[in-house]
Amino acid sequence: MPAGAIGAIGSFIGSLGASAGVATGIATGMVYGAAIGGVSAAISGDNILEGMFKGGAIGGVTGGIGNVLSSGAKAAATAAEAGASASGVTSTGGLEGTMFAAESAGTGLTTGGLEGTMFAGDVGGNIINAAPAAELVNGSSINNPGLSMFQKNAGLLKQTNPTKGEMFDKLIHGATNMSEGSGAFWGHTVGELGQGLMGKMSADAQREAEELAYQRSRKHISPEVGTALNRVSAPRLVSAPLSYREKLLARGQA
Amino acid sequence: MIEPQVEQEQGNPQQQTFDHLLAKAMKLIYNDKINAQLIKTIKTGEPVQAIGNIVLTVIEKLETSAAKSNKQIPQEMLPDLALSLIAQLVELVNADGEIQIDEKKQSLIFSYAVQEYMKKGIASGKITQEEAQQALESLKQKQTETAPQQAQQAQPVTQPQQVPQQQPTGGLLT
Repeated sequence: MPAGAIGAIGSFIGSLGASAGVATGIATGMVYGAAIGGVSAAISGDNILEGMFKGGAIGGVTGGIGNVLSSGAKAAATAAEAGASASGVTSTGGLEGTMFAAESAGTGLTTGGLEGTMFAGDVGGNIINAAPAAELVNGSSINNPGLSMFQKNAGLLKQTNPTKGEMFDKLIHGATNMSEGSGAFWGHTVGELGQGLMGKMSADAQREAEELAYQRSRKHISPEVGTALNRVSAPRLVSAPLSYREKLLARGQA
Repeated sequence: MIEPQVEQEQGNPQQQTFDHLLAKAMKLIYNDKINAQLIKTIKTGEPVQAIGNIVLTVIEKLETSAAKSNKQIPQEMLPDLALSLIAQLVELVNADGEIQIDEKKQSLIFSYAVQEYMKKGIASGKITQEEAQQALESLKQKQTETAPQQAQQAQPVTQPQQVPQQQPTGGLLT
């Protein structure tokens, strides 16, 4: 028996519950039902989606399975019994390649270094090491690892004397990275962003940067931290005119 | 100033690790170069399967990166991580507007992802059939223990299917 396998499964199971449901808004019962269905289908060799396709129109059957999932253990039986041979899997080869290539390439000055140090040390470890570079900006608080990372990047950025457009882009990436290291701290810090650095940007650009950083950062934050973040960051950003997501979609549709 | 509770949450190592992992995953998903392709892949394929495969790919990528640095992603975080990724992808797709993925389909995506993850584990020998069966029984047991809660939650989904309203974008954290 592979060492740790039981423990891993136990941990997997143990983590399912209220927190899992809360994470996505899916009812806890549905999460349990889905997990049971998935494990059961894996054991039986059946395929949940194949069963869904065979059962009839996708919408109706999806709804049917969804209802069953929500009602609990019946999900396993229904999904597994309905399943047959494995259906074709949507290819993500191209996507995967793009994803990896994009990550390998990094995203420029502010994220390039971080890409390489993703797991090289404890979480935040490498970021903390960036603290001395923070002096390049304002020398303000370096107790927060995310802030230190941002300040390091801001300092490097300042040295490169970028255009306003470049500054804007780097600022967004920096603020996003900051959230990785600091979690909830971003909402407070993004408003400060090193005043010396921000002095190069217009007020409108600064607000837009804050909004973009906010929208990206919220994707990094668990609900628990997010709840606390509301209290910290909401007053600053409540009037944000256009979300990052909307801009993202606008670009995708262009 | 940061409120005490925020500082406390920041100091939670598990939370930090989870946030770090999710951040890395989101960096992939929200990379300007790939998210349009992500949406296209989901819209042109079977969405449940496509999103499930993307989630598995991202998690596999994270596991590989961690392993290269002699780290291991805590297994207990995988379900939450997967569910969070599913939610993010569904938000993106739903906001696009062409197709809508409701709560029930999200459950189905999770089910599919669990299935594929377990199948790979069984195939690679990381998980034996016996262990998987034990996992199944334990899940059923846990579900039984939380039955009253489930009954309450299951009630609304027996109603006609409704597409959940979009969260307002650009607003507060939800």
